Amino acid sequence: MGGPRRPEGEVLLRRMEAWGDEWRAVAGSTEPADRALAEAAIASLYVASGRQAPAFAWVPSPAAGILAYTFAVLAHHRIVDRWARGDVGNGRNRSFNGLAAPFGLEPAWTYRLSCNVRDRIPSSRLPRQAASDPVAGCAEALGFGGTSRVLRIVRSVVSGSGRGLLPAVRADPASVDAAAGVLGEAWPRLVEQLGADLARGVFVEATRRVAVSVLDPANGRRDAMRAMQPGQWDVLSPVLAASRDVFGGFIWRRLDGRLEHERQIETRLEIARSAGPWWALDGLAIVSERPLILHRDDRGRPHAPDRPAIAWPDGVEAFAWHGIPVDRWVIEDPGRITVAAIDGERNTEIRRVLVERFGEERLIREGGAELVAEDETGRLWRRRLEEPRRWARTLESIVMVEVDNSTPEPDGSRKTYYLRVPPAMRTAREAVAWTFGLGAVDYRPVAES
Amino acid sequence: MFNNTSGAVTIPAPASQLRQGDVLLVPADVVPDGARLVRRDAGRVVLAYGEVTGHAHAIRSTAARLLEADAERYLVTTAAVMLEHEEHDPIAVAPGTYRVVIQREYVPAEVAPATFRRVAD
Repeated sequence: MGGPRRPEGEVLLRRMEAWGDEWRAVAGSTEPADRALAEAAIASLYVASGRQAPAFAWVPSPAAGILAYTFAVLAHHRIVDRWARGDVGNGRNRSFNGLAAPFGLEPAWTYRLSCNVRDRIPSSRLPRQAASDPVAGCAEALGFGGTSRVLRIVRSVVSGSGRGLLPAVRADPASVDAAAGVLGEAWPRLVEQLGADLARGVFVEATRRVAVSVLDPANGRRDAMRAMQPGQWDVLSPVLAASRDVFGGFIWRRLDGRLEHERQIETRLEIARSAGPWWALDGLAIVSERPLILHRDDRGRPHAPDRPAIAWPDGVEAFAWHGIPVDRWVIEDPGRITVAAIDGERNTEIRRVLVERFGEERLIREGGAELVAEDETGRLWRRRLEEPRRWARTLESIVMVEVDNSTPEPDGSRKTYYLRVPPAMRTAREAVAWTFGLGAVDYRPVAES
Repeated sequence: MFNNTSGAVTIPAPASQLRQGDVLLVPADVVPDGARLVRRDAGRVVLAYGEVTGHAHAIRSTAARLLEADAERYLVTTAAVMLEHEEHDPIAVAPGTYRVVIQREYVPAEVAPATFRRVAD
């Protein structure tokens, strides 16, 4: 077999790292969008699928894009992914399912290719939970697994955006008459037949209904959310492209050379390198600018302990704690986090954030933890985070072992400290032994200080 | 349990576990083949550094060597040595071979990729 040689060993690891660095940088970019590049790449997707190149509308943020899309979709057809099959029910969902990825890649092909990529990654690099979603596992192993978390934060902020945007419809006669001019000849006739007041009332009500149906977050947004393309937070395309650009190209050939897919992936990489999320409608593409600010933790997940993690030019802000979307006050006013607030939080992820910000040890000390066991090694405390539920096999809880420092302080007192241990621990000895990687019976120091 | 209680310092019997803060010495039979010698730091064998304070669990004696193999560390002492730390009482280490275990803490899987992080005092 000819073709490029498979990179191996150190060479392969270096290439994987370089690929991860590049795509972490793309996801973290806060440069202004490269509009010319983005427009050319998006237009080429349209042309490749036999459509006219679209007009472009640039918006300052994904939140603005969602709003623009929900309005523009009244006058522009959606583009339905041709791979969409409407798998559910009688197939009439085709248009709905297809919205998720206009110009999408064939799902079965994508899945096979991502599994192939995963098989090429040295197993030591793969996260343990990689089995279920090969794309996520590959992205994690390649070092840009946090990117999907960025997209998640973006989705959470845009899904709630525009609340309170419903317009108070202006009803003064002059502006109503001016607006109703769009009806042309029909308007004077309606005024004549219904009377001016009644006609104006009907027009205002009709306008209000349209505004509500278009701008109401609950109704209009779901469609726009599904149709949102990831842009710079694309995870799939760089994972698929890794088969060629990191692992040496052989996988592409084996999957009967879908040149069409290859070009499409290439185009998507270009879009990712040049702009934020975007939406495709027939004749119109809506493209978002990149954020002005994007703070991430060392795993690439949006995170900022005291300010917005993401902020866009139009003032839209997102708050996040290690990739988990949280309300503004959790970040800006952590003093408001109380034991009651923690217990009242139903979402387990957010509750974990609250506990982390409040302090695990403090929750054990102040939150009414139960003493599970006590022996010469220390005291084992448990603080439940959930009410016991009838069918729950395990309950989320924090278990910590409290131990005394063997060396007394100058004043004779002993410092105590808390160590978190796995929730299955039953005795303090077992817990302390675990912290040294030993079983309870194997832990028997004869001297301590 | 102690074989020598006559001096000011108690030297534990060989092959006994010793603990100083977040460091546990577990007696080991042999050091695996291919172990690398870990360089001394300012003349001391340092078993673990504190993360912030710059404190360290360290041995000054030249009778001690620290070896590394398969991500485990081993302390080999040919004579009784003292393990010292700025905040802990010194501990006497009887001659022998020990595996050096650093204390860890549980981190739920959802929070971090690893399920524990090392403790540093």
